[in-house]
Amino acid sequence: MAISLKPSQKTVELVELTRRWSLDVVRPYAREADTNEIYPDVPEVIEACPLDVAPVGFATLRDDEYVDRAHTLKTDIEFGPNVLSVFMTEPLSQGDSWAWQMLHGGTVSEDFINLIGTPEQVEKWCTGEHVLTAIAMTEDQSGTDLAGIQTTAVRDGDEWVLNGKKVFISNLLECEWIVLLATIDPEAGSAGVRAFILDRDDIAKFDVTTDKEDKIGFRFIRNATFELHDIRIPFDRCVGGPEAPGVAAALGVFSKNRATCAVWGTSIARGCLGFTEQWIDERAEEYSPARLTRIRADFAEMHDTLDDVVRLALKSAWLKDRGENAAATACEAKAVTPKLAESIVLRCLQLVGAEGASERHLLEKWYRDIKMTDAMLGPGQVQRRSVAQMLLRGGAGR
Amino acid sequence: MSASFDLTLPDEVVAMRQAARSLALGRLDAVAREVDTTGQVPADVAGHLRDMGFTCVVDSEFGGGGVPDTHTQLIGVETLAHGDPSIVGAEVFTGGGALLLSLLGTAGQRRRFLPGAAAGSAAAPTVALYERFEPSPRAYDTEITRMPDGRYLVHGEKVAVALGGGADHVIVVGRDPEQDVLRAAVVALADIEVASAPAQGHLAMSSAGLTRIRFDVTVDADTLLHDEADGVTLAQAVARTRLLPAAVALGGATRAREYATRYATERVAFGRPIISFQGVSFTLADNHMQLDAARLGLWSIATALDGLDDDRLADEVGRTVAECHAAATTATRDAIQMLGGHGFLTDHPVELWYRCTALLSTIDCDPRFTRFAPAV
Repeated sequence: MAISLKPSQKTVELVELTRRWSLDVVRPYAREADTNEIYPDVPEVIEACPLDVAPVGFATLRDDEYVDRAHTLKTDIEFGPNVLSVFMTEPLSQGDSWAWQMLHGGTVSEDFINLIGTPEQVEKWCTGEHVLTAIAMTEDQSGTDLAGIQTTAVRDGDEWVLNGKKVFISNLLECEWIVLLATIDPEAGSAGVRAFILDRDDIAKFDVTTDKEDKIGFRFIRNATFELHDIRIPFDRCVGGPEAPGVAAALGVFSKNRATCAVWGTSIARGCLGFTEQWIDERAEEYSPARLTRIRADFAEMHDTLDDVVRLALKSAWLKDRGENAAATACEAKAVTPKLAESIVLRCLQLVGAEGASERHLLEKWYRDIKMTDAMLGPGQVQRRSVAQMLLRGGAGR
Repeated sequence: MSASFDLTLPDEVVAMRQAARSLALGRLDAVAREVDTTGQVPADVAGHLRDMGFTCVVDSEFGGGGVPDTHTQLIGVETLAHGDPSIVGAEVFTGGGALLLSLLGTAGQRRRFLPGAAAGSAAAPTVALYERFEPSPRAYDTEITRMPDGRYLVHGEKVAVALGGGADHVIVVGRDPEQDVLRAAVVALADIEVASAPAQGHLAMSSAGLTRIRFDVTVDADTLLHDEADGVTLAQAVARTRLLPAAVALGGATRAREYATRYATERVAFGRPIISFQGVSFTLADNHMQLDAARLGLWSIATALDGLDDDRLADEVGRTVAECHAAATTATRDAIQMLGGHGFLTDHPVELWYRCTALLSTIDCDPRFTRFAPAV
């Protein structure tokens, strides 16, 4: 029996290459991304990335594409795309988070179509040159609980007619197309929810009431609020068709992405920790021996903690790659990671002191950013609820 | 206050707290976002805060409201911070000099600086207390050393010095290495090197103008504050000054907990108000209990300020402050969590409180008394 939790040497090398890209190429634009509240217009940064597909998108590649991609990346395919996705997400945001979403497959909207769309939809929307996409799920009264979605899609001949309101929608004004969740049967709860594809011409008809929400972190991602008034789209824009599985399939997408979303948080925390270790090391002689010992013990504890939660995400990804039920382990990783990652960033702030909380450094930005990772794909308390429910059903997995 | 265990607040403190809460929720709350953006506290708000007499304490002899006892000041500051911890925190930092002068200033220093501070016509000196690498006052790297000619050399570096109030003098607190005691000297800002731009923003308290300063200046002996006056030592006054930001953090965090509790009773998910889920209600209950315990710890150390030697006092204050900041940062982060995606938006004030408690926790943080605590 040979249990192994380590990546191959080739993958280690690719991780390091990606980490250096994030630290050396992405980080210099981090403050600009935060201040201007938009992705910096530096395509050379994206071109310099060792990856041409965002790790979160690995799992939606066809088998032959994944093999090709692995060869291109000069890594092994000893493990499946979900495990590779977790390994490669960990270095991605250590410099800063703004860049990787510009990579192909960086948003969940393509996942929706790749996983539950018709072959024609996959061909039309998910192949060819990369474009920025978006997804519209959240409403005032509905976040994680999709049963609360009130935006409606009503069939009218060869068209769907959409009405409702969406809030907190990332990249709406920058994207080329968007996947929007609406219910075709308001009485059916989550079972009535379907995904619809709307292109740039459709988006132009939205009544955008807020084009950029003021928010605490990830300010480079613009979030919009908009209303839909009798927006008509072709019938074939319903992802997978109206008879396809509704919310269950949609949740399947989130289940896969929860593990990588969790590791997004560890990536930010690991970058923050690296910065702080270097800052302290350069001033080590200033500290009393007792404090320095305490600080270094904390550093070791923080690294161990990050390793712990990354392993939870890897386990989930491994189960997913084997075709087993990974939902519970994905929720486990997503439940515990953001809070721990956030507490690591706070600890780093405190160790650097008041200066760490100033704009002189990026720590204060990362403290604002890291909080965002907790609500994405459902906050920790909802993940715990999901894990508990699966335990009650005896389905939390191995 | 009573010598035996008794948490009953005197009638005048109850009345004061009611007035402070009215100001907090009636005015500070309303201008919090504007102050966060502009870094400017409206004149009427600054006036109301000054009149309250908790953030800028001025002896009644010079037109102020008098020096409240430590408990009363802690309760007053915490209650005001319900309105906005950033505004109140900034005022506590900029007003710290008035407290030290009221407690330990020489007659000349008090005559020179306090009347203007009481009237709002001039800023009292601000305080340079905190250091980058040495949180304990007993071991401050800043030195105030007597020279052969009787003057004093003031040498060192300080962080989180609030220059946003317009002070042109700074009370520097440091160690006298020969006498092994704390000293405090009033130094002209013109003689000080500003090591970081005051305009450089922090996570919160934008009106404080927090700045890092360096100094290597010789001052006359009459710039030194008394080491002790009316039974209060400089070490005790410094300890009291360190407790105030912790009270601010508790106030902001308590408001965050209240806000999140109300939201959780109104927000419906999975068919019922989210407060009915134990994941939500137990978290809020934990926050409440931690804040309550921290507050009692704060009141406890305030009772004991005059009964501890200087070494013990510095460490006990460090521990108490650490406990308050841990409870406050946890409660504000959990409050955002209760609001889900709405918590990130500036539509709600919770993100202000999250940023402020984090900033406060960085300023007086002794790694010996705090540690990273993994929860997996």
